[in-house]
Amino acid sequence: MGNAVRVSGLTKTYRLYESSIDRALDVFRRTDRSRKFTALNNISLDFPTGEVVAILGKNGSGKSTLLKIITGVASQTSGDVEVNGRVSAMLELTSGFDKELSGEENIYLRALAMGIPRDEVEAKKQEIIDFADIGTHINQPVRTYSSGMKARLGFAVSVSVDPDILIVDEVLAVGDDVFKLKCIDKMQHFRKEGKTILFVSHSLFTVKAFCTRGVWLDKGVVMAEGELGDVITQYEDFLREERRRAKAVAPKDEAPPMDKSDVVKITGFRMHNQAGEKTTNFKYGEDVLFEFRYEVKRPVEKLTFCFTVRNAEYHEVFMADKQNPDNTIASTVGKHTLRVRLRSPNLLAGTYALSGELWNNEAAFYVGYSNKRPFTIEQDEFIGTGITRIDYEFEND
Amino acid sequence: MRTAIMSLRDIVVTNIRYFRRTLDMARVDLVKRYSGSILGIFWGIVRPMVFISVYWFAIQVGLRGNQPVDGAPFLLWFLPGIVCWFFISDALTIGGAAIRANSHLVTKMVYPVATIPVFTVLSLYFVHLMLVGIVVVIFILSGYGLSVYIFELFYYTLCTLTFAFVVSTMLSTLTAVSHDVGHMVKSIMTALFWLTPIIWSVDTLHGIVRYIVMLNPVCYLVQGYRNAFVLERWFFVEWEYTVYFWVLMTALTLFTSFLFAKLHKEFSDIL
Repeated sequence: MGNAVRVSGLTKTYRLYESSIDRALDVFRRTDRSRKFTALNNISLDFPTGEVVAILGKNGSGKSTLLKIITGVASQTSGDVEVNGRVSAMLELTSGFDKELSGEENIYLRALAMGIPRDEVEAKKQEIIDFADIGTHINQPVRTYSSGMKARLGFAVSVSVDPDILIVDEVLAVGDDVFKLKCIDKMQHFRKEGKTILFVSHSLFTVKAFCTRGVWLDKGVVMAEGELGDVITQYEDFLREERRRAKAVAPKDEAPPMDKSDVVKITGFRMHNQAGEKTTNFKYGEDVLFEFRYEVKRPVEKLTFCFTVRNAEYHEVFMADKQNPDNTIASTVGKHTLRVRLRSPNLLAGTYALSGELWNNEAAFYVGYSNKRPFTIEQDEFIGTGITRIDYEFEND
Repeated sequence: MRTAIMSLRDIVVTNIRYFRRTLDMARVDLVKRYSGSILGIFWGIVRPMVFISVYWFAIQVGLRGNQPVDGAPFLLWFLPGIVCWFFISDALTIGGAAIRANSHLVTKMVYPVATIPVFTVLSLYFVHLMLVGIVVVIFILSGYGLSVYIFELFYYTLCTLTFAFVVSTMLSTLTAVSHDVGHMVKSIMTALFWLTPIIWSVDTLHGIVRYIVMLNPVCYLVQGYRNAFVLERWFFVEWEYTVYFWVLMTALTLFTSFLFAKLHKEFSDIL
């Protein structure tokens, strides 16, 4: 499979000026009076066709700059960008709407600016209106719209161009849940058609639900790239570390916020097989075991444990009942070990993820012991496809 | 120089390639400018009409300056020049801020930036055409009539559009980079109005002052509109002035192209 987008040695330097007039005068000067800010530093990346790539990173890490350069909105300082296919970018859904014009007129306005000829807009108008789903409001001025309605209309126009590569920059943050689901649904549809999607979102939840690959940028440099699971794990570790460091430098005179690890501290998580060997590969039908140590530092009442198994797309396969009193574990101050056995879980071959936490419902306290830790099931004989085996019998006459 | 010529070629090629989109955008821009009002595009005509009536009243009645100028009644002498000025004034202020005003096209989508001042000027030109039409009707109804010189208007339209495209591209490039340029243009407009022979005749001046006033290219255009309607003078009669105008235009075009080449890549970073 080829690459939809290929970026090599990409660098973007912004020129910053004390006063804007200096930028104009610099055109005629031999010297350059600007300060330089490097947003992207010698980045090389491949975005394979048909993948949904999440671009992760904190604010100011260069994500938007990268997307803008790939889109063609901004130009790079050096390096090459190779794009194969028609790009539709959603850098902002509602920009360029005229608030006095009606929704329908704004469809024309946006579509024309995107370079779609008038007759083509005419043909696609109904489809756009249907997708936006804002009823008779379509004939009202856009200034009367809610932000969700504006976002829906903008999204509808943007996807109507039938792109090969869709670039989505944090635009799902606006709008309600129904809108988000609809957008994700549409993007899933694109994905099935083998289109490439580059996706920026600060909602790791959305990213996990939807992306297949990940790129993590920090300060204009690629920190990690590859399978989403790997990248996201590294990124989450980084965020945790960052948070911990931020806490460490926080002023001491304030009462230190109580940290979870001051109550219950978890150490030494491992998965193993029946023989007690540490592994994350299991045979089909074999018991999956895991254990971890935890230290209770302050007395907690009724500590419950639960676990979740998800499939490779992070859809839930099974989550243990969090309210079940049978899952209450020892919570006296001191060190404990918890051993869990998933009895022949009947999962079919594939990658799964194990998450779990200890928690106390009354105090809304929880501490995780495993965060989507991948494990695989191997299978020697083929018995069917899907996630789990269903026992069946039949009779006929 | 090389940069300027290459860039000029790019700008022209871009504009030819996207001309259909530019026309569509000009129409949309027009609708957008008057969106939300009931009279819509008619405000584009009403506003200058009120302006003209007030000036005519102040000068003809207030200042008692109702003697004919260059053999034409003051109002008829005044109309072609002021109509030309309205277009130029809009081209400099609105056209000269076009890129900043349409920043969403620059920063949020892939849009040929070089066509933004062009479609803005074209949308202003639609209104201008209507005004010229009205002036023609007034000339016919007043009994003053039109002469063969009216065909000269095609030539002066070409000059005016060239001037508007070039200067609006230059100014909108600069205003995109610096707010100060935008404010500067606005404050210069009043001065330019009075320094250009719009409500007074250039023929009242003599000697060096006359030539200094005529250095202003807007003077050439205003005089040109007047040539076509009342002065009955061909543009090649004053050929030195025509040569001057086109030399100046060439220089401005090259300067604008150079400026655009140096700055347009930074638009999306600044706006």
